[in-house]
Amino acid sequence: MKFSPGLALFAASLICGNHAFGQNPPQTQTPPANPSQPQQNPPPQQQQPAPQNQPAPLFGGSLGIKSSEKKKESATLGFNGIDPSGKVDAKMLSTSATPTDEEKVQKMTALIPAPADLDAFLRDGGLKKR
Amino acid sequence: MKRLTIAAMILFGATAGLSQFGGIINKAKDKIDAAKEKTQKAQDAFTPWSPKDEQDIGTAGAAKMVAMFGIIEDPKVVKYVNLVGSTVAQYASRPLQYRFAVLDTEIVGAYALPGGFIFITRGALTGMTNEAQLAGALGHEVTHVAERHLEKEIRSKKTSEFAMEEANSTGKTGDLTALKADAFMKDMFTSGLSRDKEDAADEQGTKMAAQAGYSPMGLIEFLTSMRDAAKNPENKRMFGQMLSTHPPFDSRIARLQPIAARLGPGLTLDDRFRAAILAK
Repeated sequence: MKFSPGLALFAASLICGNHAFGQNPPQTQTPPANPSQPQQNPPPQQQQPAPQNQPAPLFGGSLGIKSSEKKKESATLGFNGIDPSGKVDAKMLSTSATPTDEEKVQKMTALIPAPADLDAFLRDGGLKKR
Repeated sequence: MKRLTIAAMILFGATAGLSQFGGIINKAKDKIDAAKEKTQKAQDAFTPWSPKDEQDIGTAGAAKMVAMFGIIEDPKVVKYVNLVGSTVAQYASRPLQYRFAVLDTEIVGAYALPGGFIFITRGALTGMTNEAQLAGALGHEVTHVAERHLEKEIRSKKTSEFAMEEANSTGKTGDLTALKADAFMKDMFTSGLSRDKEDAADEQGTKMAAQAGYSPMGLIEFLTSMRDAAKNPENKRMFGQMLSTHPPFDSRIARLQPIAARLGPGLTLDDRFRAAILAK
């Protein structure tokens, strides 16, 4: 059998070429997105029509609720410790809880509605009990 | 001689190739090992807190929240918000003692802490017009707690304040829970949650409100009101916190609309909301 230099070089390049190919594994082919697929974004169903006299959202307006008995000292930091960009400032974040604050948290647990109260609330509003 | 040279060339090519091939195999092995290590790290990143840890960290965090903002103590409002929250929480994926309070601050937001402590701000209530909106917002927060979203988020971020505090706390004495809660709160106010967790909370919160009988449009309406109000530069302080930690309002609304449409109609209970929150 006669060796051909061209054939030998071709064989060597094939070996090396395969290695190079091995370094770059073929990309997994992903099917292209189907542009004809319709977007599922139907308009929301009209629920209950907004009452004619429904008040517009206030945001920042006053509510008919009493504010906390005593504003926290931290609340005097401008907009309740909020910097001009609207983020809670570092001083506010470093506020430590006092025993009074801890007591208020304990009170939160005591204010969980009793089952009978929840049932009455659900009935009153026509809501569903699980 | 010529044949010998050619044979040598082939042998050289093949040897070089094989050695490269071996290198590639090693590289692939390294990659597989790295992937295995990454997977293990991801699994290790979230080990749920024990119920006691969750409760202790939540309690300490809630006390800090009260210290920062103060809470509304009007019994009528506190009872009402708790009743609406408990109505939605009936449908939570994890039974827990869910407790609700109103933070006395103008900023618009709601916060969910481990252990079932949920806060909505006075500023947020001023932008609502009915009970379904409140139910949707509280449902969103209940989902964060039920699904342990914040816990998962901060424990997966090795650079979070909480993770660093946890790592540094080994061997320390003192009130570690308070330290952890402190770091936890900083994370909550600075980095927020990932997009997928916020989307999940929007969707699940809306579904829970609808299951209870509320209009599934509640959260969408509230998001729309916030989007419109946030356009006014004068309101930047009110919405800055929420915008820095949540996805844009428009994308949240667009994502929720088809979900709400599928859920059908429900109650809005405008009068009851007005009587409890807006009545002077």
